[in-house]
Amino acid sequence: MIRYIIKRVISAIITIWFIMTLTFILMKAIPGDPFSSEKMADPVIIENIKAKYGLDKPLIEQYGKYLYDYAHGDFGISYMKKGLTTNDIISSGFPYSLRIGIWASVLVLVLGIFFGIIAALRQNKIIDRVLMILATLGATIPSFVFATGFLFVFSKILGWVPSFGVDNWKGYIGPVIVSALFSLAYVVRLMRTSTLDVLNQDYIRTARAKGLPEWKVMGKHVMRNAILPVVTYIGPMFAALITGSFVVEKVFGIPGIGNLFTNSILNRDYTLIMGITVFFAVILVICILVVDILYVLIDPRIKYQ
Amino acid sequence: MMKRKLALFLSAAMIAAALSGCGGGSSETTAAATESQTEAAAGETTAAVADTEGSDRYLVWRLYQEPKQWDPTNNSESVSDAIVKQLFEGLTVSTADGFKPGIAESWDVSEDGKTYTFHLRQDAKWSDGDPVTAKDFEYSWRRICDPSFASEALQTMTDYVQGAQEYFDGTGSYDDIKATAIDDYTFEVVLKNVTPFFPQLVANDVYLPVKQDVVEAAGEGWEKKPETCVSNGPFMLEEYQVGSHMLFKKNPNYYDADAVSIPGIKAVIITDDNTAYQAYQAGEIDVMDHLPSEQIPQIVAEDPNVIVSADTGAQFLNFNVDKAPFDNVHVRKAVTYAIDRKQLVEQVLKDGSVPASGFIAPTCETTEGGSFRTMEDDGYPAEEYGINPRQANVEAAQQELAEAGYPGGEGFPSVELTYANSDKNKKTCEAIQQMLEENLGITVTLRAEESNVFTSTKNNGNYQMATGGWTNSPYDASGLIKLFYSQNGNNTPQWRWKEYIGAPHDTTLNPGNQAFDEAFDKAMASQGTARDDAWREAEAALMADMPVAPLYYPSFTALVNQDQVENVELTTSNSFMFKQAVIIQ
Amino acid sequence: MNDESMKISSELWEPLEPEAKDAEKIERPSLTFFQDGWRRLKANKVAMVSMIIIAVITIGAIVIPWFWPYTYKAQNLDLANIPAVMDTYPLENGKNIYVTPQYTVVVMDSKGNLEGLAESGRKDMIGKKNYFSVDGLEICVDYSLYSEATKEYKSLEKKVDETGMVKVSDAQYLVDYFAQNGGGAEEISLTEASNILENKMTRVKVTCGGEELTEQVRLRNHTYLLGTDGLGRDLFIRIVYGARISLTVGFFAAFINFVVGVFYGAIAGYIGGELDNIMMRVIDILDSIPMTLYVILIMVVVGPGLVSIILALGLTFWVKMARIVRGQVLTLKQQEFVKAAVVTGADTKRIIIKHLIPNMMGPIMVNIAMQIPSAIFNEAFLSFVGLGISAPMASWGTLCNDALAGIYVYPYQMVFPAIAISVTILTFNLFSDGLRDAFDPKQRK
Repeated sequence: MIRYIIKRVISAIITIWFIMTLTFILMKAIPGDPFSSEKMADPVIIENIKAKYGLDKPLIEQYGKYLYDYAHGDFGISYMKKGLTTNDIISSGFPYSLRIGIWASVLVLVLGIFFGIIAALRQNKIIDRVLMILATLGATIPSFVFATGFLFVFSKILGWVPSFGVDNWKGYIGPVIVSALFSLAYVVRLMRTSTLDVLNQDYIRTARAKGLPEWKVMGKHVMRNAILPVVTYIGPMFAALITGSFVVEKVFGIPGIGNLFTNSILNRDYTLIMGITVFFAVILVICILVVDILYVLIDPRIKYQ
Repeated sequence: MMKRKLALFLSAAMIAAALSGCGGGSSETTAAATESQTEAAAGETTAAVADTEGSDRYLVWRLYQEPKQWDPTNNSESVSDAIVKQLFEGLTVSTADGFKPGIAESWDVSEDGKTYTFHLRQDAKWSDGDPVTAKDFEYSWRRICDPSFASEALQTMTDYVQGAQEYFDGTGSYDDIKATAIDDYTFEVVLKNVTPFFPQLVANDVYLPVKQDVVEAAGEGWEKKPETCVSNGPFMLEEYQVGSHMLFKKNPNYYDADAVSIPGIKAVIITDDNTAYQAYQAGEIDVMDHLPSEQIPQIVAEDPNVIVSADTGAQFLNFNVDKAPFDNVHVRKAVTYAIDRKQLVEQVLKDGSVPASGFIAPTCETTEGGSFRTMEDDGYPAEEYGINPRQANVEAAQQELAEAGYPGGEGFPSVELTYANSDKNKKTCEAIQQMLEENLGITVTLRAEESNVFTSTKNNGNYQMATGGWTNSPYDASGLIKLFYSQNGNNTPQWRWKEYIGAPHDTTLNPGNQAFDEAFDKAMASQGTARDDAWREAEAALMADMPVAPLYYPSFTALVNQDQVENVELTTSNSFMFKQAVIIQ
Repeated sequence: MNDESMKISSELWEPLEPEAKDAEKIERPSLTFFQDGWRRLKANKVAMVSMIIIAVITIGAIVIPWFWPYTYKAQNLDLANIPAVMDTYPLENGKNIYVTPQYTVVVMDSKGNLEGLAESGRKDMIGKKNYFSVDGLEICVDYSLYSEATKEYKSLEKKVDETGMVKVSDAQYLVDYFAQNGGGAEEISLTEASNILENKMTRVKVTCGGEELTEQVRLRNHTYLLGTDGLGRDLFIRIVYGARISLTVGFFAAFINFVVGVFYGAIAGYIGGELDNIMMRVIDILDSIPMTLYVILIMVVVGPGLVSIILALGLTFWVKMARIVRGQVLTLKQQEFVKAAVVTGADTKRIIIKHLIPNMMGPIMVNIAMQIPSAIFNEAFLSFVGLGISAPMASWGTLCNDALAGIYVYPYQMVFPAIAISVTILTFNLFSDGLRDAFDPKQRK
């Protein structure tokens, strides 16, 4: 087990290194630079600024410095947001997205698994149909439509939630629901399908036949097996949810990291893009790693080599 | 059992890892999280207090984008201009009707009109309690000229102050920059040309002082941290949360602190216009500009709090005069005449903009305070340079196109119109595309770029047609028209009769620009009506060669919730001053 | 041994009854995998209806532009932002007028054929009245009601007591409202007063030659089926063109998903070992670089437009599918039927195509159904940040985004494309559910 984990961690580190290299190459390949604002066109100034950020050095030297700094947890400074480091910016935007992401994930898992099982147990009954229609609709409404509609109803007409920002807990309701919607719809369907699969298996029949109480059958046999596909999905989903959504953050006026990231890409803020990309990659790789290990622990059929 | 425990541990670890991010950021991030939570709680209690006591809350002001920086000496954006003016105070101060003395109580002008001596008030203090002296101005002004500092505001010094360009180029010394502190409270500036509006000019953001010791100790980004952002204006920085908001609190050391009645300003960054407008309607925002474009007519009709004011500037189409087919003046004229500006303004923009007939905006003042444009009864300028602001001049346009060798648009290549991505620009360009297709029979394709990329596209001349806009202060035409000076990096049409070191890519020379340059130089060196005439001459040279097609003079629309705040001042350059604001509710 | 005795005389042979000839024949026709699936798909009504809807949308997207009177880019700036259904005021001369949210007047005949903007006369900004003339009749649009009501509401806010109730008689607009709609309570809550102010009260008073027009007729827009957008373009044909773009992106994403994702995942999962590890890390890397970055890079090479979006989708979109397929293969390959196939000497290709993929059809179909909407949304997002198709061409995403700016004034501009997206995706989902049920061997009866 320990050996398996060590092996996975090493390969995760190699993956991150690849991602860093690829990001670096992509950044250098993209045209347009961040130093071209309206009133500044003097080439002498631009040369000076490039020198200040080390952009005049040979690429290989820039790459070396980049790897060295990142390995030491220094993600560099932002070109556009003068005087702020990438670490400053991430630590300022990430907590918002993280909070939204965690609550959205909790919502997705609790409701998704619960409704998925309910739908499976009542297969083809009314409640199943209603849940499936809702889940399908959930995946069909574009998030900007849903977010705008949410604000219209609950902020403009009813005045229950603030029209922007997350100054108090009420501000989180909208973003959490809108972020969770798509994944929730997916998890309900996934859970339903896999529960149906498991219910048809022989060992469930056996368990019932030997007289186990129904809650024990559900908890111990059905749930544990049916949840496996959901577990695979959790990793990337959790990573995607906590790294924020541009649309949700823009419409709800949240200073989260998804918004900062898209803006940094559009503004060609090289260092910030690289920093946040690597940061996201690390989150994703960790999430996948943890899920892989969880998977091995939960699923008795998969052996770790 | 073992396995389950491990699984539990791992999920906990996963969340912890996600929480802490990577590397050494862990304690930082969690700290930030808890901090903002407590702040949120604190914010709620303040809000509750505000409900009962009314006037004790901060004024809420919406920023439409996140400022890159607000170091006065390095400024280049309009959004930070507004911030700088709340935090810092210059020699003079912009007001609703022009300007008034600020840190300088009075000033003298030499007989030749080139030397200004400012006498500073002695009670002005920085927010850390130190006095504001002429040395601070000397340091700030010279800092802008420092080649290693690479200020984005460089031209505001090199255009006016003697010795600035030389120091930047390395041919002159630091001490020869003619912006000098004679003593602690006397500041002397020697100008390159006679500049009658100079006292008004120095109210602008880039001429405001910064404090040498804090700036040098803290380095870049000093203005973003409350402990190092030492300022001399009515407010001081209290808190900055990236992408979210800024808090400015009243500066107790400000010399005129008694006049400041509000405890502070909360500047919230909301990029979505609709969201901001909703917040305004819900009473969560007191002051905002950049209204949602589709709703402007309705807001103007219904909301008594709306402010519609003309911006001094023009929106125009750039033609790349070095690239076919726009290297042909007839093609440029054909396109210019084929646009229906009234339709554009009334049916597409609907925000109170005025169709253009020349480059200089009607609000730009001549030396006697008049306008460069003749306005007619309907509020639109009279026809000039063959441009009828009320309709497209289709006949003339087709004639020009035929003269260029493309009768009826035959054989005309498909051309590309590039624009900075926004809803408004997109609609404008789509409408222009249609007008050109209908009136000239030519095919135009559209290309959207993000504004930073778009700026470099334009400055490097990598386009055929592109949208453009330029606004400036209303008191002198130089600020507007300097755009087309051959030695200007923002000469986006690449209209130069001689090479410019700032634009090494522009090797195709356009002789038409020479007459413009000459008129420009003449204007800069003259005063009174001679100056105005020279500006007209420069504009005529510009319009004769038509490197740009003026479209409209933009308007500025904003909302100030008069039920909640009073006395919010709007300067002649359309930026807000909150010094005297009062909160009613 | 007598040969004669071994001979069976021919009389002993007897011809079979014709029916008996088929006794050994298998009753059900031998069906291939796909024929069998199709047979069961046909029985599923929901899936068939969905399939028909998808086909109708696809054919419509191809065919309608050929004969529709408008093109996606023809503008009529005078007739911008006209909805599909309008509350109009009939005039004496048989014309009907519609007052826009911007208080201008659009003239149409009594059937709803638009004739153009009314000629605009004086504009009284202070009295909040706009004057127009329609065929010599003077029309006055008085929009001061709302501003007046707002002032009254403000004073109500100050008078409100602890119970949150206000007197109707204190505000003229409330009195008028209840006079018009009946039901006169003496007191109402402040929230209700605000609701009446913002959403329920009549905001304009229209007079023709001094007489107030009260009668309203609801007319359908006969010139533009679904109304026009902000530049006076026919919304319907733009949605049809949008379908072309969005469906292309969606189908392409599904195709890439199926071809690349399924095989990549299956190979990684089936062969396993080091190859699996490397292949999965490649996926991790591709997946962790955001698509916006790829798109910007691709746009530089091939220029902006549909091609860059499709290439970017092609580069990243199969990743999720590959992960899921790999996970499935890891479990399936331990099962007996795969082992049996290996023993009988089937090669890897055959095992993957004939044995593994059919058994994973369920999850594959669900995934494709989820990825098509996701692709359509992605295209919308890219268009939203200016990296999508160039204007004036429209996709459903850009249509929704354009409408977003005016959502509170012209909601119909958002509603129609949003419905188009939702219906398409809904039918894709239902259809793929049907496909899964039909093709999943585990569900064969």
